[in-house]
Amino acid sequence: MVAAYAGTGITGAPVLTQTVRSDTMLRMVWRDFRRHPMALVGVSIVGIIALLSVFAFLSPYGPESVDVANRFSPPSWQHPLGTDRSGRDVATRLLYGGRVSLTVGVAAVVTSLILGSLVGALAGFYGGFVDNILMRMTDAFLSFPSLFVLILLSFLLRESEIPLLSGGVASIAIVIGATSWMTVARLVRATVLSLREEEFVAAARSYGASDARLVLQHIAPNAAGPVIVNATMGVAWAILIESGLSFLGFGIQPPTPSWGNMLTDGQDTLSLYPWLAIFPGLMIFLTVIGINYIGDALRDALDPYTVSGRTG
Amino acid sequence: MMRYVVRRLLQAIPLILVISAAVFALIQLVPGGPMGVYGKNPNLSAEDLARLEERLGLNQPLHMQYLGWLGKVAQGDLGYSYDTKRPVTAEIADRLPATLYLMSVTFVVVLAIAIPVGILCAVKQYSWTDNLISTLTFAGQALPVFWLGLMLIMIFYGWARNPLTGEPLLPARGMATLGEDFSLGDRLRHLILPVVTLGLGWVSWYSRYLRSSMLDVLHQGYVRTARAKGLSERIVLRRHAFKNAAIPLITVVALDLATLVTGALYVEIIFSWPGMGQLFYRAATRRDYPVLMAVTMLAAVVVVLANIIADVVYAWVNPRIRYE
Repeated sequence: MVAAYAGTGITGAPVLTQTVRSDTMLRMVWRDFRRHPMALVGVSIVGIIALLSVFAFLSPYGPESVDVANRFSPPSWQHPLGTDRSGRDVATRLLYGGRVSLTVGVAAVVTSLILGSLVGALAGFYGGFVDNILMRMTDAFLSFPSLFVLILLSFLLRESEIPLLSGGVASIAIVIGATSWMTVARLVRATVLSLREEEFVAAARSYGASDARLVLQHIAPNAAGPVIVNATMGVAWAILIESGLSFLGFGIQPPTPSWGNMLTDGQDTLSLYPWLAIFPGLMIFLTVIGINYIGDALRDALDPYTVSGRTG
Repeated sequence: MMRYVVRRLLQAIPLILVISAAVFALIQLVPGGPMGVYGKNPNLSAEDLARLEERLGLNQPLHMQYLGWLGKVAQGDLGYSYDTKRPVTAEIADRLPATLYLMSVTFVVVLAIAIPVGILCAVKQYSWTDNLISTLTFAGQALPVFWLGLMLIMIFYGWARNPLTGEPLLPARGMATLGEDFSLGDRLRHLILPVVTLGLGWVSWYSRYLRSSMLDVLHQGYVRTARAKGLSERIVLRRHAFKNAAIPLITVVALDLATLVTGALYVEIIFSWPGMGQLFYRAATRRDYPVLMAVTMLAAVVVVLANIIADVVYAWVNPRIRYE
């Protein structure tokens, strides 16, 4: 307990009740997170992009409003990031595209978390035959060349006429989630496997907890640390994949703006109208690096082996 | 060791069968199935479609179709491209060399840069060199490959000019200038932008990986012992530290060997590089199912093999691991 005071700036003997409150897991993680040199940078970048995207409707222009008189105008006061070939305001479209990218990123990770935790918990808790089948399935999924399968899947979904699923935000999120749950499954399985014989689990079982309760309430939360870090990085990965698919024409379909399909628009006129290609890519880059910084800081903060209160 | 390799190869067979069934099932999910592409053609009558269906064996039950397809694949017959009407094997044979060429050059360049950089950062941990490189590699991992490629084209093909000829500084399309005799210089110039685009992320990833495994090793007792014996820092780093620190990196590199065959989709598309990635992309945009299936299957087999190679190499370089 004494070591926990190091670096907190508390001088003199603190009152006991205060220490108990100040040392909850969350507080310790938050303290370590805040100290990470790049955490603030990451949170600011992602926060600003997310806020601007949410308030994109405040822009005087609409994401799809055409202005033929102002085609390809370079960045100016009226259009800070220029306009595209239909005279649409690039900045406005980027912010609406941000909604798409961030939504897909988060939704894809939620999908992969649900799938991965389910597979991992079942495999780890029941072991034996169930474990074998599920883990071989995980291996099979890991052996799929991911970009090829992603293209194949999103191509199939786009062709299909299933309502809600063909060619929209939901379909891309599901496709990405369905091909990226394997790491989560392995993390959860490893935790469940190592803890299911522990005494606290036996104790819970002895007072009649169901299997589902044992796993959900007592065992799975122990995997939270690595899973949270993985999920954070997963959002960045999903955003990269979504913009890549959209860039190739297999993701979000125009005229709905996404960073990827805006980049496609810019690629034929690279040296003439560079702003059309520079800014969408910059948005992807900034968002991904911001999320990666957050993930990195979380990794250090959640890792019990990193001494809390470390410098630098 | 031999027995382990054989066992892993045997275990891979059911895995590949599962993958092949999944790929086959995926294609069947397309509305209208593999016939969908013909169904939309107004020049084909219902009888034509039925005849075509029979000739392609698509009127048989699904499991028979799958077994038939599998049997042919086992004999090296991957069917015919809907698009070019040529055998799929010929399409792949045309594309594979270009991909192998680009990827092997990239691998050599990437390792030649990433290894010294990784070691340097570990040795000078928290120095300004290390901090600078760490920042750069962090950025390198976040750069979308397709954007980096476009930006490099914009700068080195679109804007920068060769001061002598006034032509673009670097070529941005294909493997060589069309209609010119073979020249090494021309080939190399065509490689620069694709290799840089592809390599930057990889160099960042590998060097960070090596940095952290070098740091693990450098803090171990046997390295201190080696230094205490009075060995030069050079020998300590090379013989003692690097050899062990390279083990995890070797595994990662072995896994990435699969890309030697599967290629780099974005880079091949952006730079019009006539390789496997472009073949797949073209097949996907033109609904060329036989090619799509063949390339996906080939890629899956290669990934499975790369996994096995990674495990075997890991056991081989690390005498502490024994698989029996």
